[in-house]
Amino acid sequence: MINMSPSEGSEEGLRVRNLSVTYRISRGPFRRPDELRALRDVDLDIAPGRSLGVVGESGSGKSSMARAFLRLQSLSGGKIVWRGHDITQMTEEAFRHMRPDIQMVFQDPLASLNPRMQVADLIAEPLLTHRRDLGKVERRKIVIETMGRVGLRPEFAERYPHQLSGGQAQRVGIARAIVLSPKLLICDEAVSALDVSVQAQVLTLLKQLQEEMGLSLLFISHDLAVVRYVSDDIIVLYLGRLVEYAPRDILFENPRHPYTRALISSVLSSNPRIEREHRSPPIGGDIPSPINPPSGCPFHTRCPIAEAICREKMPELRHWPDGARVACHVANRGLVPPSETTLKGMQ
Amino acid sequence: MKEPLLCVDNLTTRFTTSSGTVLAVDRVSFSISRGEVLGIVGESGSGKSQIFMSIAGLLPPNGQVSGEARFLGRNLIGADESELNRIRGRALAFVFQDPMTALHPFRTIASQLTEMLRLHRGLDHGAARAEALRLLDRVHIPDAKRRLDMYPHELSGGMRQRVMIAMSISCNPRLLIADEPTTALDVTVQLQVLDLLDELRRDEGIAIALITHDMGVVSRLSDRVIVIYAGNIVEEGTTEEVLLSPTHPYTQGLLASMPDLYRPLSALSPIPGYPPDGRQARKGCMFAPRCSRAQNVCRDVFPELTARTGRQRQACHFPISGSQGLAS
Repeated sequence: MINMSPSEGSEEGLRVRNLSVTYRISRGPFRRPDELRALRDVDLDIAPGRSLGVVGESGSGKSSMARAFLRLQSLSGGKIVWRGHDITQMTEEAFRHMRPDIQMVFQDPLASLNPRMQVADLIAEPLLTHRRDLGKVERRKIVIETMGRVGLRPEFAERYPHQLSGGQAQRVGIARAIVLSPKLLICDEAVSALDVSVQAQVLTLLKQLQEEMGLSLLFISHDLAVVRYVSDDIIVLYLGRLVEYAPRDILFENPRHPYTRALISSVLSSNPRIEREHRSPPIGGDIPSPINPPSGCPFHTRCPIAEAICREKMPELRHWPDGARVACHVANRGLVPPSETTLKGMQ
Repeated sequence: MKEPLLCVDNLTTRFTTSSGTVLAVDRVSFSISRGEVLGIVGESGSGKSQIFMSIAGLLPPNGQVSGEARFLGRNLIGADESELNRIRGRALAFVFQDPMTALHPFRTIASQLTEMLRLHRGLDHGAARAEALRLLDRVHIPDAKRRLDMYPHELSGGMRQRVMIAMSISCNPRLLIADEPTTALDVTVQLQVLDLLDELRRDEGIAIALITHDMGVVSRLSDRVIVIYAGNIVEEGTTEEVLLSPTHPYTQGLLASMPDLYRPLSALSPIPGYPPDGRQARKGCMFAPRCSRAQNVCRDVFPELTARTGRQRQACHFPISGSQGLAS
């Protein structure tokens, strides 16, 4: 497959090809289980120090993606190549060595922290697993240093999770994720459970850590405004398919896929004049069930510009000269001459 | 002047807990006119929902309310259960965040809707079913006839919320209390549901108390806004006034910490610190510890909600004047 991103050729970042995840859903005894294709043939790249935002609504497959990267979810196809090694093919042993590189921040900070451990021990836990070479004093030093990094004062070291607010608990979650100096941080709805005033603090912190530590960031969220704030590049998923990829500013200034357009115009503004004066009517319909997705392009049931071909054939992801990639029969007609992706089959 | 639909005066709500008394709502006064949408904005724990739980008499046994809430001319605070039962679900209706927990999972949509119509409106079986169908059509549920016989889990989140709205309008309410009505919905569906609420207000004159943490939702639907912090109203005004030229530092901070597609990326600036949890001693302005404008007086003297600049009311000793507000 052709890869246009800057990471091509380097063995540094994350390279994902044809990522597919399928769940089997039991319908009871003696019946064939349903298949839920949560992700289908998704390609993405993250270069070192870059951040990729993943947006999608329910059923888009965005959470399956996070789980797949940590091998919490087996793939039905495709590969996940981290610094030259396919982590889906690795032995448990080899993956454990790589595991400190890839860390995750979860949505619900309180649910992801052991309620019977103090903050300092929670943050030290990854060190106990992966850095057995460290002595107690060194470990303590790293923990306090990390707490400083995420904006937790030293007196929090002895507190228990129930004594923390949501924002403080998420800081502990982030501290646990960065204490091993990872190279890739996966954030799955990491600020969605937080209050607005605290959400901005955590977003600012994540962005600052990314810059300071040179982290690659995979930022998964349903909230386009939040994704815009932290991402260099953005992919849009709909029912398990990648429908558009673009550098951030291009995505917002010139969204090409009708779903991306619908998504952007559904985001409400706190400016009432914008809401009252220039608001296109909402897109109709509901997100179809991922168990029984529409034929062809999964968006055709709600798409304002769908044509006959959209009901029959899944559109190919095509590369635009400005770096965007779009999977839409109609939008891609604006792309002349036929792009280099037609060479794809020959490679 | 005609009396407003709902007139709340000096409402205070306390909870007695094992770790002391929690003041959830503190001396709150506001009103809602007929057909008006009032946005009630606050973060979790601010007391924004407890205001309406107090008004509707839906507090747990450890909650105590004082003050007054006149709805259609009657004070609901201290009203007996039978009187409240005549009002709740009829003139005063609710829509909650999560329709899945509000709907009975083992009963069809038809059976839940018709039960309500028979109980509250005395319709017979046939008439109730016809009315249920009309209501589903009213909230724009496509293929309503088929959906009547479905169970809640067979519907999407957006459809379930429409069913909830159909139930809540089934007895012609005058006031709809919508508590985070779209928070659990996907963004493309959220807009549809907000537009439905707007339509109900326009066509049927239903007033809406729109409780939300989301300034975007308020901006879309509300005529006026009150901003709640730590149980107090800190700012009140028209939606344009409050969102375009906030005068309370908390309102301004809240707006500045919300990523907004229509503002430059650099505009995000968080409010330092965390909201109080309700057990703290109440002295002075509750926002003072997080406020960059706070001075000694703020820590000592409670700021009353008054109009210091223009028509907008704010509970702040040092309100932000127009030019210092957020650029639109």
